[in-house]
Amino acid sequence: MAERDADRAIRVESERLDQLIAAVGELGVVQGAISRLLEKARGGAGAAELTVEAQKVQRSFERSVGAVRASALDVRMVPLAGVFTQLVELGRRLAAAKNKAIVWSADGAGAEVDKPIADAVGEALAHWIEYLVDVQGDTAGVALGVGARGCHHVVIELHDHGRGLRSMPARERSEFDRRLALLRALLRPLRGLIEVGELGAGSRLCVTVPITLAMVGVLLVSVGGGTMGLPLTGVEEVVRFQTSQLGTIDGHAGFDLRGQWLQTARLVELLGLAPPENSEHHMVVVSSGSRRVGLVVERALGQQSVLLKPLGRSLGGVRAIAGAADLAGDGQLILVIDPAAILDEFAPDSEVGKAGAP
Amino acid sequence: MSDTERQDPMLVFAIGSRLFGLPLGSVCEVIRVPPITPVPRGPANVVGVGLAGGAVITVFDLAPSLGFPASVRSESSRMLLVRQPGEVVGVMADRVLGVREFAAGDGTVDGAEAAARPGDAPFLLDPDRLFSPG
Repeated sequence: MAERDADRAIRVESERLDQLIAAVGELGVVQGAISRLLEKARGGAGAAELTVEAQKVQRSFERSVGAVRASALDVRMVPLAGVFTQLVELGRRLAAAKNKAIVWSADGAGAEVDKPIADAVGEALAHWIEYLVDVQGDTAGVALGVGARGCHHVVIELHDHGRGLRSMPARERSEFDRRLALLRALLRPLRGLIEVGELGAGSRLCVTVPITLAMVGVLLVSVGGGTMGLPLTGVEEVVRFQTSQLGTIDGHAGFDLRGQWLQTARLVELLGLAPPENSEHHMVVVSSGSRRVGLVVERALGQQSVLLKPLGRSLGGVRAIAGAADLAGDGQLILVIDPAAILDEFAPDSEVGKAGAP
Repeated sequence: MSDTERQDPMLVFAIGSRLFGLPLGSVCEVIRVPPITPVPRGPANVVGVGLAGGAVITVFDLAPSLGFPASVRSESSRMLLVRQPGEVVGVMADRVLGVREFAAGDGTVDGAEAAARPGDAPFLLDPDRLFSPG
């Protein structure tokens, strides 16, 4: 990757740097508190008193570190509106060159993402814009917008007033599928999820991406006696169930979830782990587009933000794992699963076909 | 050894009773073994992942793929950080014995040759050929 220096530089509002510097300053206050605590300890203060003091120091240290982390990550955030502007400019240029009249609109709605994510999203969606202008000849308008927003992710919506999937001839349809697969491949490093919907009146592409690559919200689950994480971007819900509720249709294990048949799989089996000693109580419904599967785990333990680190190059072949995180800060890593890779094993890229069905 | 011109310094370590050697130049650091998390569906010679210097490191046990008993953790266990293209990987060692020089002509060996080596001579490993996935 031969990136130019200009691409790696980033403009930061001075208020954000001020915030970061202020947060670092707060750490100095904690340092003072630790010194005073040490002095008390040397002066022969009792264990009970010292414990109370140490707990106070620890709490303010946690707050300060949290503030430093938040404002450090904030420095790298850029508005999605900037990405949208570039995409619209690209679209206008391409449309002008082809003499096509397309109405463009974009609304970033103040949403921000990490700089590397903004870059990757811009690059990936540029291919889609090119496709809309070039291949889908009758596109009359394209709207870029921001859909649902969570603490850790944002949904980018791209609505075109084109022909839509339902009335698309087979040849165009296979091109659509090919471009969609390319888009998915480009967004895979971000653990981005793509959904295609609202067919008929044009198509709507929903791209879910994490806001920052560094911090990822995960659902912690116990699997085969160990703990693993599932990125919240891919988790729909957690269901408590009894083994007797599981059934099979056509040899596929499944579960009746509020009247809908949901294919299920035991995560221990998918990962080739030893069967758990404790019985399995929870099912995590993960989805990407309209592909869904209920992953059976021993227990869902709760949510947490983690600093996700990629696995080394020698483990590049292990697609089911998105990365590892030092959960408790004690050096014991937990693995974070890539739900898209798991879903690929069940229903490889079937959502377009399903969505296109009447 | 007096008749050879070049000598290759090797870091010699043991897994069980077997001695192995890696070129000193390929080893960046020797550290205590960090907590290791197994990776499901990982390559057979990978023990798991661990944290070293803030990065997630893939940890290898080279003995089983050469046909020897696997590494067993103890107080004397260490992890060698070995430079590879694009990453640093960890290599388990039950004991690290030190640096020895070998005549350049001794050469390096891989699986089949290693098994054929007699006695307690260390198996000199070629870091370029060890970590291919498998």
